[in-house]
Amino acid sequence: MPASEPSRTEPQPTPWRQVAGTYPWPHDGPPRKEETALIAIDMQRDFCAEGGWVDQLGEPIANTAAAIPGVARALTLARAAGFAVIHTREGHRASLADLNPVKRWRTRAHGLGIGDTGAEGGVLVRGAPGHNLVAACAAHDGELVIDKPGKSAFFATALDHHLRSSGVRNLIVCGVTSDCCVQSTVRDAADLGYDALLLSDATAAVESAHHAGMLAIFNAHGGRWGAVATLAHLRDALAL
Amino acid sequence: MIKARPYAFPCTEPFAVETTLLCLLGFQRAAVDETGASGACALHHANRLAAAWAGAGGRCVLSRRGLPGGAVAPPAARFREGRRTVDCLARAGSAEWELALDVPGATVVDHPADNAFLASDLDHIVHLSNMRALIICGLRTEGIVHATMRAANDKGLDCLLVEDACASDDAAFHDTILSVTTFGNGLFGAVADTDAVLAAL
Repeated sequence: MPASEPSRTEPQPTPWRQVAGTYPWPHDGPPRKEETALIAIDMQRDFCAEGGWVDQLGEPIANTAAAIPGVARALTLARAAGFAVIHTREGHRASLADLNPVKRWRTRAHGLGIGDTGAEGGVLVRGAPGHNLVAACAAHDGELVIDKPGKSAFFATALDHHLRSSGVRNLIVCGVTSDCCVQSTVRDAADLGYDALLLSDATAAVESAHHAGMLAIFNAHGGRWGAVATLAHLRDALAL
Repeated sequence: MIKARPYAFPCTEPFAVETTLLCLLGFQRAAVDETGASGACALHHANRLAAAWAGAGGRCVLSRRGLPGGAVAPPAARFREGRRTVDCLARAGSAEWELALDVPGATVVDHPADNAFLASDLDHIVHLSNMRALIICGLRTEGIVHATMRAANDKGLDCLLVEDACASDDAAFHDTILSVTTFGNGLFGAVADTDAVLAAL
């Protein structure tokens, strides 16, 4: 082997501790910067903001709006630690070529269908004002934004490819909603072999009972699909 | 159509046995034993469904979660496995992995994780057989059943959850999943009982 050939990079020591969640997370020792990413799920006006799609449907946005400061705090912690930060947005191409008829029918029957035009433009259509991230959770330069047509951020996207390519094994997950896209993403992460940490005070559901019920399911059996912890637990582990 | 809540199933086209796949998920020996009376009840209704479905000429999939010899689960999954005493990933060929029901003519799909579509040929089979909708039941409601139903929804398949042919260790978990499934106008599909499916046949 030529002398100039770089040797395989050895893992660097980490200054942090495991996060005190459902189990000490990550399961195999303190998190390493280069192996850890934070994913903020769907912090879009359509889900969290007054005048967005959920609000136009007449559903309460109190819970999803209340999650904004927690997610913003999670983003700040991840950036300070140097973790990769990834944002997702649920939404479809303007052509709606990636919108399945069943999804459209169900939401139309609810009052205002995905792909139809509402007060903030096309509902969950890429480029429409309602599809944008809320200002407090906007992506910084250099942060990956994944546009996804399904509930799971892993469905029909390059997320798994990007994570594996960059060597990420540990995922900190926050965003909305805890019973829908957040949960689909954490379940897929578990099945795909990632070690996921759900931040319970940086996620929310439209209905409080669904949020509580899903956290109970996640916490059962020692952490069935990953660990659950609070922002304070994360901050303590990172000494921030 | 099948009488269901919150909408008559399926939603975008008429009900047709030819384009609807009956999915009996995770009815394996360990899951039935661990879920006790509720699991036995779910199995009873699953057998009723399977018999009626076969009688109507419908196609059926039985799913079986497990790891074949020589395969391992990812390290994080192995760690979580070690923290629980139930709902564990069985080794293919073991007694606990065996199916607890027999449906002549059914297609058996093996999968290594909760979502029966992940790392299996289920999606391939659904596509090639031109299936448009799934009727789903199994063990456990919040585990294999819900994970698979979520994945089916992202793929655009309409889903009907047969509530009395599903079970969990914890009735509250089962109820949470039913509530989330039907939220809005069916966040993850519709819910009905076995009799409603049989009535449509």
